[in-house]
Amino acid sequence: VSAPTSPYSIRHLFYDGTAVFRLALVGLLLVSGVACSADSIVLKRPDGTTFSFPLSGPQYDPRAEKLVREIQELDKLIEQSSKGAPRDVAIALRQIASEYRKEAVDNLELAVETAQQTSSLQLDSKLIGKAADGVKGFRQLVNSPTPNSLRVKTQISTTISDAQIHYLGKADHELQLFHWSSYTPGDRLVIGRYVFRVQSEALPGGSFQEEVRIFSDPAMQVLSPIVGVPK
Amino acid sequence: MRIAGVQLVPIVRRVRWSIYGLMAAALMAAAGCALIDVSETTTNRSAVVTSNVPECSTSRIQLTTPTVGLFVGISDYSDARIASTPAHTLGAAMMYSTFFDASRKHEIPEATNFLEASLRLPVGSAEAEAATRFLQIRTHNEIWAKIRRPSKSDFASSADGKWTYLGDGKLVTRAKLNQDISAAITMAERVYQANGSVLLVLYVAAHGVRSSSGEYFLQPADARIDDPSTWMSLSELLQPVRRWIEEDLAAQGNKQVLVITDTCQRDTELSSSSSVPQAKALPHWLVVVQSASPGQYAWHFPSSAQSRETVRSDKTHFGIVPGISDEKSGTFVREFRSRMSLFPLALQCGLAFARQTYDNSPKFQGESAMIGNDDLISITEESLKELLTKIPTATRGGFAQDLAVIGVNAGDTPYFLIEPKSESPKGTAP
Repeated sequence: VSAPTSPYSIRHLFYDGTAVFRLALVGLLLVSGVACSADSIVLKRPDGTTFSFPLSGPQYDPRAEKLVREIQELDKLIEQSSKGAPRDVAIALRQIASEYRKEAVDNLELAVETAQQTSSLQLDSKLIGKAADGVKGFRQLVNSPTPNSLRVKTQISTTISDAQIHYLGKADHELQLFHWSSYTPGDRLVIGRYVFRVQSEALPGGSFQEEVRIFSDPAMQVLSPIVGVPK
Repeated sequence: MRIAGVQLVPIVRRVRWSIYGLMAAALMAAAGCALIDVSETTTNRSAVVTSNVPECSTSRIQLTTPTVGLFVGISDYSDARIASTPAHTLGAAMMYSTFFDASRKHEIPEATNFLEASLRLPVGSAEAEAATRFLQIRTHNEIWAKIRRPSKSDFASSADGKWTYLGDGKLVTRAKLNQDISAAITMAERVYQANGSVLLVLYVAAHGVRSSSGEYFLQPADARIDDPSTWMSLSELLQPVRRWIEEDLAAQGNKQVLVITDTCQRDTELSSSSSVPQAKALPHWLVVVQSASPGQYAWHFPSSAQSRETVRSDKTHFGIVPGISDEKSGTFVREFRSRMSLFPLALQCGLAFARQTYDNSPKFQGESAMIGNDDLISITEESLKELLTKIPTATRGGFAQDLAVIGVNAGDTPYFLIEPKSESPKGTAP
């Protein structure tokens, strides 16, 4: 058997010892080329399906890209953050993380879809803001020291004097199941997301509410109204 | 919903020399006997098109006044950061269709409608096919006739991989839009001189925003996303029509103008030049309807259609060997998806609803009913709200879309009238 003389012949490859390496190199370059020129970032939704965030064109937004990259980074960190924690704590933390992540991804996706389906120029700033809140909660969770038990000591206080404080799980609050529990600083609460209500005659409207994230032991937060209160 | 049932029965007759026939002929010829195989193929095609777009017929609805309409859909943007979308062109075509159908061409031949849009989409894309298909099934035949099919020169000149399907192929730039408005005013003046009254309708579907100072702008095709000086303010859009009305106040309502801006009014962080004046109080007889209120989006209806085509090929043979047909029999289903501005659909469906209400009301039996400015706005808005519930993204995001109206049509001169049903001739089924 003699080797073919044409350098372009497919048969030539079978007689050239370096051909396999060259083919592999071409394949590698092609694959890396695709990855480098990718014009979107793919994010997984909670149900396992994917969502592509555009990195160019009319629906591209640098604020949204920053959030998408943060989510990708936090996806990796969350795996590490709860290592060594008791099983029930790890499960609870991951559940809360997935809620924040979902908030962020849902709002980013809604912003892109809205831009595609309307005569608008840019991604919706309010939706981007909501996505940023989700990412912020996600990051806060990842960065918090992991508690040793599901129930943690809390120290939630308010700047309003003579106020009563009540709390409610955030999920129940969203479902409008308003079965408020009375709160006393020092109470041990299950880690999670809560809505706290501060009631006082000194407040306009009589009360205000604020989300409280209880991830660490102890969990501390001072509740204060956004609008000014007469002293 | 079945919106069109089209029976297409082109008969294709092919006389085929099959390879077997040739072989047989060669053998027969060799045997001294010339015999060929001739087969005849008859292909029957029938297509049924179904669509999710509500069928809202506006038959028996007529314009009350000789009308000149300019319907603009800005679908192509030269700045790649601004989305090009067929929704605006489809919207303009639907508005054109509604007014064209309602115009009393037989009585007032001077009445004219212009359609100004350029819809350019990637060569051979599903989007292009879907958009042209919707233009075909949702608008008047006159519009379909205006669609320029791709030619060889398009291949040569389309370095950017785009074709022009509708309009004259030029982008609807700020200068072109101003020219078109001037031409429409000239035509409206001519119609007014001939008839003593005229309604000028100016509809523009485009991208739009409110600047940080709260001023409304729309984006012509040559707008730059980061340069508000390239945007078109409402006052710039209205300036020529205002001047036209104010120059002849003696016309006293015989010159009416209805301007419809079908754009978003979402707030943008970019600030506009303070030298651009705000729209001042409008003269009587000039009404501006905006398809979305300040801070809102103008949504696009996610239209889809399915064409179910049945092909049946029947072959008859003359000869001794069966022929081979390249026609395949069977049922072929094709899906089309595009987007169209919501407002024109809402207007059509609002008019259709008004006619239905009129037909069901014993009060109007045998008489015409009028649809004035306020009625038109209210029926369109109701319809808009209902259609918005069919857009999942809008529902999920809790978005609303309400019309905004600037100015008054003094005297509420009716735009449309609903003609009574013609009675069925005796002896025929109703």
